[in-house]
Amino acid sequence: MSGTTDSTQPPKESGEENAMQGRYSSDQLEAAGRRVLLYLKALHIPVHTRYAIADKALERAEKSCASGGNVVAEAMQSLPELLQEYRRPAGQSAREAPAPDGAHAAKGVPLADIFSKELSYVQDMPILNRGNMVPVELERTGAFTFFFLLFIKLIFFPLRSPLRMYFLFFTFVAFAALYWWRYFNQ
Amino acid sequence: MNREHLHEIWGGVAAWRRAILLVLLFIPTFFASVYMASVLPYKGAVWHETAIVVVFTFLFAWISMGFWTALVGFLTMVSRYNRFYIPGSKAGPFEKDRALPKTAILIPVCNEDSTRVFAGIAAIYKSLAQTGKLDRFDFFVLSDTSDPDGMIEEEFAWAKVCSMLNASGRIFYRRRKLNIKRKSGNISDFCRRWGKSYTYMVVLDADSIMSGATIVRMVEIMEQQPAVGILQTAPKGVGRESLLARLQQFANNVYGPVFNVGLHFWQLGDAHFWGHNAILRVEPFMKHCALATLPGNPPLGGEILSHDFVEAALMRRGGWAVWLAFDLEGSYEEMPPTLLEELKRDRRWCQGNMQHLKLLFTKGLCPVHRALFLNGAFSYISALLWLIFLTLCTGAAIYQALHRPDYFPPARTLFPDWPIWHPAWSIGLLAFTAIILFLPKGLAILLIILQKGRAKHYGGAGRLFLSVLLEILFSTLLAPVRMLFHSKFVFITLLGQQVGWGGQQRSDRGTPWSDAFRFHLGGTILACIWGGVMFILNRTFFWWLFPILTGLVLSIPLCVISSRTSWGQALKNKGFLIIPEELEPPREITWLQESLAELKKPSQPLAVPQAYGFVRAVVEPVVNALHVKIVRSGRKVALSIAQRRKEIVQKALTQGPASLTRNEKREILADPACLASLHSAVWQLSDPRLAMKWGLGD
Repeated sequence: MSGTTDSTQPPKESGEENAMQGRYSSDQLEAAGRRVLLYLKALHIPVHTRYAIADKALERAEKSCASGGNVVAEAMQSLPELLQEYRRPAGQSAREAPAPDGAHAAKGVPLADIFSKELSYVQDMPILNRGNMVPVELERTGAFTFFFLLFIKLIFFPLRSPLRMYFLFFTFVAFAALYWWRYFNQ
Repeated sequence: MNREHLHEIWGGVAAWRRAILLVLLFIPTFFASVYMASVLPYKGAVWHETAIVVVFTFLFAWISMGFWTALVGFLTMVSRYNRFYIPGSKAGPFEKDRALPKTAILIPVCNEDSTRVFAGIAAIYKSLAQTGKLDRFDFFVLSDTSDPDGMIEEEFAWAKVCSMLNASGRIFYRRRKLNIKRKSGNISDFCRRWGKSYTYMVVLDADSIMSGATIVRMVEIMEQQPAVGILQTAPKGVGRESLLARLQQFANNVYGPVFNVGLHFWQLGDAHFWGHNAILRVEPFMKHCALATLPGNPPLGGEILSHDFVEAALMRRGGWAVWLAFDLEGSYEEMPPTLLEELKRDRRWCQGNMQHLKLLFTKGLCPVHRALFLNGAFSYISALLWLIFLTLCTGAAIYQALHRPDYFPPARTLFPDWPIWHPAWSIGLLAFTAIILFLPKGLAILLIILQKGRAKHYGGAGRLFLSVLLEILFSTLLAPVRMLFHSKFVFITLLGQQVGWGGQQRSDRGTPWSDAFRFHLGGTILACIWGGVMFILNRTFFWWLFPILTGLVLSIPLCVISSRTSWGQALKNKGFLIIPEELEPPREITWLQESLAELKKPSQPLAVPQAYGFVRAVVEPVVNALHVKIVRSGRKVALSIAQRRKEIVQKALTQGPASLTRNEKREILADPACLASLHSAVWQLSDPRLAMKWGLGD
C-alpha cells in the first residue's frame, strides 16, 4: 500500500487500462468503497467509524484518480494514514505517533502499530536457559558376548552374598551326605 | 553410571517376582507344547509338525504373559495389598506451605487438528487454575507442523485461547524450523532452550487430557520420591463416538486396571514410559536420555521412532526409577477413531519397536527393559508367527488330505507308522487356550461386580456382561485382520521399507467404502481362496479355520461399520459400551467440549474457511499481523532467493492461491516482508475475479 513501485504491485488488468486512460467508473468507485469497508470490518473497527474512514479514503482516492489510476489501490493506500489518525490518542500529533516496525514499516501497512498493543504477548517467550543434552553412544556388546557374560553371572550367582553362605553350607551338606553314603554303603 | 538409586528394597523383591513369572511362563508353556505335539498325527516327529510345535510354544508363552499379569493384578486388587505403592496413596500429604517447583507442560504437535489441541489445553488450564497452583506451571506448545494451512490455524487457535483464558505469558507457542528427530527431537530442543528453568516436565499428546489435581499430585509425588525419574499414569480412553473407538475405550476402561496393576506388580521401579500423560524429572532426563542415532540404515537403523521405551531404559540406566502410577485418576486420552487410523499408527509403532531389537544388547540396561524391548517387538512379531502357524497347519492339513500315509517306512520298525489325529485333545487344547485368552476379561468383570455400586457406572451388570461379549465378538473378528496387517508391517520393515510420521486423523470421520476396499480387498480375496481350498480338501480343518476366515471375509464391512459414529451412538443409547466418564463426565471433559465449541465458532469476518490458513494469513489483517509477529523479522536472503520469492508472489497474484505448491506457500510464510507485500497487493486487486480467488468477494 506504499506509493513506491515494485514487482509485487498488483497486475494491470483490462479495467485499469480504461481507468488510466480516463476517469474511473462509478462501479469501480463502489468496488473501492466495498473493499475499504471489508478491510475495516476485518480490523474490527466499529461500524460508524468504518463508514467515516471509508468516506475519507474514497475522497482521497477520487482526488488521486482524477486523471486516471486504480481507484481501489488508491483507496487502500490511503488507509494507513487514516488509521493512524484513528488510533492516535487524542491530543497526540502525527510526529509523536510511534512508527510502524518490522516488515510492515517498509511497505507502510498499518498493521504493526495497530496491533502492537494487542499482540504484545506474542513474542513473550520465557528467558532462554540453555543446557546440554548430548546423546551418549549406545555401546552394544553383541549377542554372543551378552549371553556369555550372562552365563558367567548365572554360574557365579549362588556365590554372591548373602546366598554364598547358604550355597556353601548346602554344598558341604551334600558332599558330606555323598561321602557317608559311599563309605558306609560299601 | 550412578547405581546408588538402584539399591532400594524393591530391587530384591522385584527380582523374585520376575523369577516366579518366568517359572509361571515356562512350566505351562512346556506342558502345553508337549500336549500340542501329542495332538498332532505324527507327534511332532516330522519337520512341519516340529515347526508347528516350536511356533506354538512362542505364541503360547506370549499369551500366557498377559494371563499371569491379569491374574496377579486381580489378586492384588482383591486383596487390596500392595507393598510398593509408589503413587503415594499411602504417602503422607504434601506440606501445605511448601511451594511446588516450576513445571513445564509440554504438548508436542505435528500436523494435528489445532482446534482439538488447544481446546484440550484450555480444559487443562482451567482445571489447573482451580487448584490454585497455576502460577507454578507453564504450557509449551511445541510445533513441528509443516503444513502451511495447519501452521496458521495453530497460531490463530493459540492466540484465541490465550485471549479466552487471559493466559498471555503462560501458554507459549514455538514452532521449529527444522524437524530433527521428530517428537524426541522436539522435546530435546525444549530441554536445551528452557529445560534448566524447570524441575519437572509433564509430556502430553495432542489428544491428552489431564486434570489439574492429577498434575499437581504428580509433582508432589516426584517431590516426595526423589529417586523417581519418570512417573507414568495409566490414561483412560474417553471422548470417542465411532464404534471401534468406543469398543477400545470400553476395553481400556474395564480390563485396563487389572492389567495395569499386574504390570506394576512385575515391573515396580522398572516400568514403561508411554511417551505421554507422564511427568519427568528434567535434569536426569537431559543428562541420560538424549537419543543417539542407531547404527545402520532405516528402517531398523537411523532415528529412533519409538523413543519413549528407550528413554525409560536410559533413565533407568542412569539410576533413576520409572514407576507406573496405576491408581492416579484424571488422566485421559482418545482412541484412534477408525481401523485404518489404528493400523497407520501401528505401522509406525511396528517399525519403532523392531528398532528396539538393536538395543537388546546395549551395555548398562536393566534386564527388565531388555525384556520390554523384546516384548514390544514381539507384540508385532507374534502376528507374523501366528500367520506362520496357520500356514503350517494349513500345509499339514493339505498334506494329510493329499498324501497317503506311509505305514511301513524304509527304516525298520516293530510297529507300523500310524498317524493318529486326536480331535478331542485338540478341542481340549483350544479350550485351554481360550481360557488363557478370555479369563482375564472375566476377572475384570468380576472385579467390577464385586465392588459395590460400580457396575451401574457401566450401565448395570447385565449390560456390562453383554458389552463384554460384544467386545469379544468384535475383537475376535478383527484379530485376523490385525494379524494380516501386522505381519505385513513386520515383513516390509525387515525388507527395508521405512514409514513416515504424518499427522493422525483424530476426529470421528468415518472410513469411506472406497478406502475400505482398497486396504482390505487383498485380505478378503486371500480368505476366500484359503477357505475355498480347505473346504474342498479338508473340511474338518476348514471349520477350525472358520472364525479366522470370517473375520477376513467381513473385513471390508467391519472396517466401515466400526468407523461410523451412528453405530457407536446407537449402542450408547441402548446402554452398551458405557464407561463411567460418559455417565458422569469429569469437569475437564466438559470444559473440553465447551472450548471446542468456542474455538470452532467462525470468528473471521471474511468468507475464508478456517481450514485455508495460508489464504487467511495473506488476507486477514489480524492473522497476518499475528503470523508476522511470531515469525519475527526475516533473515536477509540471497538475491536469487529474493527474486524467486517475488516470482512466487506474482504467480499468487495472477493465478490465485490454489496455484501455489506447499513449499511455495511455506516460503512466503517464512518471509515476513514477502507476506506483507502480498497482503498489500491482494487488497489492492481491482479485478473481481482475481479478488474472489482470495475470498475478497465484492
